[in-house]
Order: sequence, then C-alpha cells, then structure tokens
Amino acid sequence: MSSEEAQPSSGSASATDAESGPDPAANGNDRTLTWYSAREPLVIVVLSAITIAFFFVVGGLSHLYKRELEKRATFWANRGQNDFRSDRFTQAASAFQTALTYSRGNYGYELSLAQALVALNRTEEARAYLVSLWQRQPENGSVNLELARIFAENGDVTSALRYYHNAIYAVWTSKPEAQQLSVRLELVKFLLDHKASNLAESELIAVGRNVPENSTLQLRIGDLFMRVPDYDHALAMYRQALKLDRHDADALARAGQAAFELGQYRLAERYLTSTLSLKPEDAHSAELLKMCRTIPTLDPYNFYSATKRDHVVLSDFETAGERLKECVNGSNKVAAADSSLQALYAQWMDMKTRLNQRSLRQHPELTDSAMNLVFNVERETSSICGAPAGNNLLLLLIAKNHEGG
Amino acid sequence: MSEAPTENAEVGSASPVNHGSTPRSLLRFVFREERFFLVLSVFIGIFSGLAVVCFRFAIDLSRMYFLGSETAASHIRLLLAPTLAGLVIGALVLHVFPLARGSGVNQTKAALYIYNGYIPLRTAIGKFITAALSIGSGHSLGPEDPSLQIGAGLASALGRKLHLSRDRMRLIAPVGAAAGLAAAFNAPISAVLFVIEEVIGRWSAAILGSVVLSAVSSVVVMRWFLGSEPLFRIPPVELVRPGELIAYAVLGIAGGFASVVFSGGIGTMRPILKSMPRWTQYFQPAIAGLIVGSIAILGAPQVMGAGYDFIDEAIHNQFTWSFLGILVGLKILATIISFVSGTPGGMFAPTLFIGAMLGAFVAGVEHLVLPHLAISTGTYAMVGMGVLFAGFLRAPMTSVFMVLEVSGNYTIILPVIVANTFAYVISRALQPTPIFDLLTRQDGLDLPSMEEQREQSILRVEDAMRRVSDPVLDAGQPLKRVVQQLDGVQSVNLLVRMPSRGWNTITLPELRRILAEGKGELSLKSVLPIKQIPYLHPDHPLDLAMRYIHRYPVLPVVSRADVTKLEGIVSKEDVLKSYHDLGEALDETE
Repeated sequence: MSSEEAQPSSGSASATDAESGPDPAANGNDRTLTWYSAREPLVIVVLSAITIAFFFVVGGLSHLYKRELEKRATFWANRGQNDFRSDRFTQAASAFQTALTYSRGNYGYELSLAQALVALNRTEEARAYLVSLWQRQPENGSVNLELARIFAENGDVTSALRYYHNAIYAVWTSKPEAQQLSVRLELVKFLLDHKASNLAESELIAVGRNVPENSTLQLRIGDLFMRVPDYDHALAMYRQALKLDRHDADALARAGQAAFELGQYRLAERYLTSTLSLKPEDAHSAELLKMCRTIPTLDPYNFYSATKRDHVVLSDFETAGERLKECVNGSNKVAAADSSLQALYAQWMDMKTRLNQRSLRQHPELTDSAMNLVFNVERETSSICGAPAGNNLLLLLIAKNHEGG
Repeated sequence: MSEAPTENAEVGSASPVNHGSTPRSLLRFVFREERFFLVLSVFIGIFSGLAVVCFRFAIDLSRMYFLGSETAASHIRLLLAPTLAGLVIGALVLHVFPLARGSGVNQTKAALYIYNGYIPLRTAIGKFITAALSIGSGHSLGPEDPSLQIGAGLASALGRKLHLSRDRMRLIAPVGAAAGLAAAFNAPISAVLFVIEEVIGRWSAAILGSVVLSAVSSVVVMRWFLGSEPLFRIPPVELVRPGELIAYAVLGIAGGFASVVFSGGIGTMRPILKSMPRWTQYFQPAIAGLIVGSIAILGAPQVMGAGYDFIDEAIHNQFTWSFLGILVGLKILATIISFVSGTPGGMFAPTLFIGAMLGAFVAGVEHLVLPHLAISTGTYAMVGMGVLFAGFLRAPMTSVFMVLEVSGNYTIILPVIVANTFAYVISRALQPTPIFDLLTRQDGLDLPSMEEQREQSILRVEDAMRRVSDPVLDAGQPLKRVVQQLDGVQSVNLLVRMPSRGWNTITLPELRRILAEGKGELSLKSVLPIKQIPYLHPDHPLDLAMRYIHRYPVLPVVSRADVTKLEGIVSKEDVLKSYHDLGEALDETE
C-alpha cells in the first residue's frame, strides 16, 4: 500500500508521488517540459498582452465607476451645503455622510461633516473626524480652528491654545490674512473669557500693528482692547476708525468711552458731544457726557481759586462721609471689613472736627489729607459695599485718575 | 537532514518527475518551472487584483441600485432588496453555479487537497455574480472570502491553460487565493499568513515566494485603481497603563464566548437547512434576506452588507454602548441566517464587524463602570476585530498581524496578543472543531485540519533511538585489528566512523570474508563503499528516518555539535515500535 492510500489527506505531495511509483502524471510532465521549452517566451508575451488589455478594460470601468461616484458625491455634498447654510444641520450631516460613502476620505466632505456635527453639538464625533483630518493635513487652518473650538468648548485651554496657534500660522486657501486675523481675534476672545488678559493683550498688540482699513474690524479690535483693559490701544484703534469716517457715531461713542476710562474727560466730552449730535438717543453716551461734565466740578485740584477749592473739598468730604455711614450701617459685612470701615469712620470723624473753610485756608496741606481720606473711603466702600453711584462714583473715578490707575 | 555529499544525488531522485531524461535536463526543467511559476505568480496577482477591483465595483453598484444612493434607505428597499436578490441568488446557485455556495475558503482547500488544484472558472464567475448580488443587496456577508475564491479560480484556470505540473497545479490555487484576499483586505501580510496558516498549512520557501509575490502584485493593482486608503480611519492607539491589559483580557473572554455562539449557530443551523427538501433551497436566501431586511427596518440597518462604514463609526465612538451590544447580537443572527441559507458571501467582514462592535461595547461598559479611566474606544474596537478573528476563524497568527497591519501601530500588539489568546483558548475549549473544519465535515469532505495539524504530537528520532551496545569502528584502523575488537559481538550491521566527518556501515560476515581473502593489513576505509550513509540528529522528525530506513538497516543518530559523536542508532524495528507505542497511547486517550 502506498502512503498516499494510507494517508489520503496527508498533504505531502512530493513524498507521496515519490512513493507511488510510475505515475500517470509523469507523461503529463514530459509534455509540460516540451511545452515550456517551446513556448515559455511566447507565454510570457501573451500573458503580458492580456494583462495590458485587462488593465485597459478595468481602467475604463474604473473611470466610469468613479465618474458615477463623483456625480453622486457632488450631488449629496451640494445638498449638504445647502442644508448647512439653511441651518438644517441634521440633514446636512446625513447628506455629507452620504457624499462620503461615494467619495471615501474626501477631505472637504469630511471637514464639512465635522462642521455639521459641531453645529449639532456632536462634538465627540466631530473631533474624531477632525483629528483624522488633522493627521492628514496638520497645516490645514480650518481643521485646526475647528479643533481649537472643540477643545475650547470642552474647557481644555492648553489644547485649545495649541490649535488656535496652529490655525493662526496654518495654510488658508482663500484670504489667508483675513482668516489669520479672524482666528487671532477669536483666540483673544477665548483668552479674555478665560481671564488671560496678558496673553490676550500681546495677541491684540500683534493684531493692532497691521489692521486693514476696515472700521468694523477696527471697532471690534478696539472693543477687545477695552476688555483687556488697554484703553490707550483701544482709543488708538477707535481713532483709526474715525480717520476713515469722522462721523461714525459708534466710533465716536467708543472713543468717548475709552477717553473717559483714561481720565481724559475733556477729550471724552468732545467725542461724546459729537456722538450725541449724531445719535441723540444714545443714553449711555449721554450719561457718560454728564459724568464728564460733572467730574471736573468735583475735583478740587482743577480749581485755582482757594475758596472754590476749599468748598469742593468740604463737599467731597461730606459726600464720602455719607457713603461711609451708609456702608457702616449696612449689613452683610465680614468682621475684617467691618473693622476696616470702623477705622475709616473714626478717621473721618476725627477729621470732620478739624475740617472747615478756615482750617483749610490756614493749613493748605489739609486739602491733600482730606482728599486722601475721601479717596480711601470711596475705594474701601466700593470694595466692601459694592459699586457706588452718583457723585461717589465720580469721586472714585477721580481717585483712580489721581493714582494713575 | 544533514547528509554526506554522495547522498545528495539520491535525495534528488525523490523528485516527482519521472520523464526518463538525464539529471541535467531534469534540473533544467525543475529550475525553469520554478522560475516560471514565480513569474506566473505575479501575473496571477495582477489578474486577481483586477478581478477584485471589478468585484468591488460590482458590489458598490449593486448596493447603489438595490438600496439607493442615500445612506438611509427607505423601508421598502430595505425589505425588498435582499429578498428579491435572494430569489435570484437561489435560482442561480441551484441551476447555474452550484459550487458558488458558501464562503470559498473550504472550496479552495478542497481544490488543493482533493481536486489537484482544479477550480472551475465557472465557479469563480458564479461567485463574482452571486456574491456581488448578495452583499450589494444587504445580506450580512463580506467580500473577502469570495475574493479569495475568485483569485484561486482565476489562478487555477490559468494553470490549466499553461499545462502546469500536478504539484504546481496544487499550489496555484492558494497562490491565487492569497492574491484575492490581499486585494480584498488591502493587507498583503495578513493574506499571506492566512493562506499559509489556514489553507496550505506549511511553510516552504517556494510556496512563500509565490504567495508573497502574488499578494503584493494584487495589492499594488488594487491600490492603483482604488487608492491606498485604509479600510478604516485609525484613531491614535495607546496603552496608557499596563493594568489596562486586564480590561483587554475581559474583551478576549467576551470575544471567546461570542465566537462560540457564532460558530455554534452556524454549526447547528446549517445541517438543518441543508437537509430540507431541495425546493426550499430556492427560497432560503430570499427568506434570509427578508429576515435581514426586517432587522434593518426594526432599527439596525447597520447589520446589512459588509458594514465597514459602521466599523469605522464604532471605532470613532459613534454608537452608544447599549446599541453596540444590540448590534453584536443582531449581526451574529443576521450573518448566521445569511450564511446557512447558502447565500454566497464571506464571513471575514461580519467577523470584523462583530469584533469591532464587541470591542467598542466592552469599552463602553468599562467606561460606565470605571468612569475615571481614560478608555480608548477605537483601540478596543480594533482589538475586538482581532479577538473574533482568533476565536471564530481560529487563525491566531493572522489575527495578530491583521490588527497590526490594519492599525499600522505596533503599540496595539500587547492588547491584541492578550485578548486573542483568551478568545482562542475559550473558543477551542468550548468548540473543539474550528468553523472551517466543521463546514467541510458537514459537506462530507475530510480535508486536513490545520489546527489539528498544528496540535499534532510529532514523534522525533530521539523517541525511537537506542543506545549503541556494539563497538563503533574507526575507518582508519587495519582490518585485522578491527576484527579483534569484535569478539563476542552478535550484531550483523556495524557502524563505521569515517575520518571525513561521515558515517558508513559494514556487515560482520563481509568483514570476515575480506579478512579471509588475506587483506587483513588493509585499512577498513579502503574496503568500504565510497558512498556514505545519511545520519540523523535526535530532534529530527521520525518521518525523516522513515525515508531512509528501508534502505539502511541502521542509521547513526549524532550530535548537532559534533557529527562524529554518536548519540544512538535507529533501525526499522525501532521506528515501527515507536509508531506502535504512540498508536496505543492515543487509543488509550480516546
């Protein structure tokens, strides 16, 4: 018995053949040898020719197939774009997904799908797409920006900053400078929201060096400077906007506000007056203007006449005293704050016995002492008893102005 | 086997070719056919790649026309498409392409072991048409196994046209199979490993060269037309803490049980459906399609077709953990129904789908139980694919390399090995017969089981050898002195240690005869035949000794460190006794 019969499924072909003696296949092998000797080059040529022909046929089919897929992908992508523009984000996401089944891995469609998913608040799915897109093109601006927004939304400040910076220095296919500026401003807003004013300010200063002549943009940048707060740069930015249109009521109002914050009340008054002449209904500007006009009357250092100055000092001293009394009598104060107010009140009471027109005239240094106490009272009460109003507010502003803050 | 130089010519005569030519022409022929086979492997790879590209087009177009161009098909389409396609497939399989049923892996194995590499071209064509219809219409089957069979069919047809020898014809089907699978998977290493591990079952340089060449050529062709995009978007893979391996072991255990359910379902239902009257087979694919369509309508359209897009979504954490669990169950059900109905299509893609969903499900549950752990769903889904591959298809090596190749990340290897080992061990313990072997046995075939072959205990020369009791002669000694050493020696055959690191034998009567002729002064070497005898090492398989033992009464067993150092000897009786003892031991075990 041959081993092939004994182990029909052994699989050891050469061994079984060797054992099985004369084999019908042997004649076949003879024929094969002759066949090869005569035809090997021809066989290779024929196979190559068939391969080329087959390649062309499959190439043609592939072309038709891809054209069909492209047609369908374009159709669904366009539908997705329309849905996205009409805020139908669910339909848009579905359409982009369909487009992607016909154009697998299409960068634009995947990005659009990710944006639709972001709009649907499906951020995890969006992030998966965006990370995959980022791996393919780490320099793509839109992808970096979307990722930055997702990380910002999730409160991951470090990652958000990384992707925002990537986006600023990334490749933007259309209007790269405008895109970079827009990303930088979004980053500034993000930094301001996360109380990172220093970082925001440095980004804004970088932006401010090269702002295009566009008043809307200039006003936006100025507003961000105001939020930092960096009133000097804000005022400069508003002034740039005013150079383009000196009758721009918004620019005038904001310049007035910036000047007011800087303590430049006369300049603020000028801007605010112009604002109200163009936009009389602007209540905020009217209020500011009123304050601008009042503040000089409350600041004794504005008066050359000793009598008037002494009169203002006494008036401010009384105003501060009233505020202090209200604050001392108010509730919700912690013990430490209470003792601080008590100390101030004691000082105020002490000075009140000594402060009058005559003493001020005889001891001019009392003006400084009295006003220092007034400023201290306003500062302390505003931190303990909340923001002041009326003349107290103005006294506080004067205090800040004098201390350079 | 290490042999003396003179033995080489004898080994050469074991070649299957017996054409009565001179050894030189024989060698020329062998070399020429060997070389030509390698060239042919490249052509097979190209043809298979092109065929698989067309197969992909056919599946996609079939899907577009059956299920519509939208991602979410209408309910009527979901229900009617697989049902009507099932009716057509039923008729085609029964009347036109009867051999196109099933996945295609076993048919390729049968071609190798039973039909001398013969796969009718009609079967390949039938597989192409029917599988494109079934997968495109939404039956829960995949394109990989059919691609494997299409590649094997094309290769077989080409081999027949080119009058290849029987040996080559037997090998050509696996070469085509590797090409088809590589193109379908876009993963040449996994395809080569799978074909070696599950179809051919053995490694040799000749086979490996051809299989690798065909697989690489087909992948190049496939990427030429379809691009080199991977099947899935691979998320960053990371193993944060070594302790995570415990979680992957849990995934492996879950995968092992899921594999048992999956293969058990197929193993139980398939014979029942096959035993039903023939007329029912017209409707079985349609009914399977109706059930799959109903599952889709009820809220799980993801179970339809190969499902690669949904694997991608699972990898990217786009399903809730509870839905992932439902998908695991429904996909197993849908695939069992589709497959046992005789609908042509593969099980690779469903296996990957179930594995990915299971992996993501386990990740979801772990996140629920241990919310403080940063669990990467994508990594779990990737590992899950390997787990099912190891547990269900029982291809442990391929399962590891498949995940590595698909993920392109070496970091994943530890979780994959841990999880796959658990899945493989559990699956083997609960379902001793692997799915492909189960299917062949149900079909009445007795193909070799690669898993059983791997596990077979191999007898080695050391199991049969015995110690040398007789003196070992030195070839340099004079005959007179040699004979003096042999007083009282009973053995007839004596071993002679040659000075040139070889071995020889001489019989005692022959030695005495030469001495009687008055040649006692001559050295032993001078009277020995020039041709030396082969020698063995203790670790050689005993099968190797069988090749020589009928020609040599005893064979020396020598140390690998020093071939002049004799460890023992084997004779025909020793070898037969070892096989007899093994047989008795196995009988006792059974």
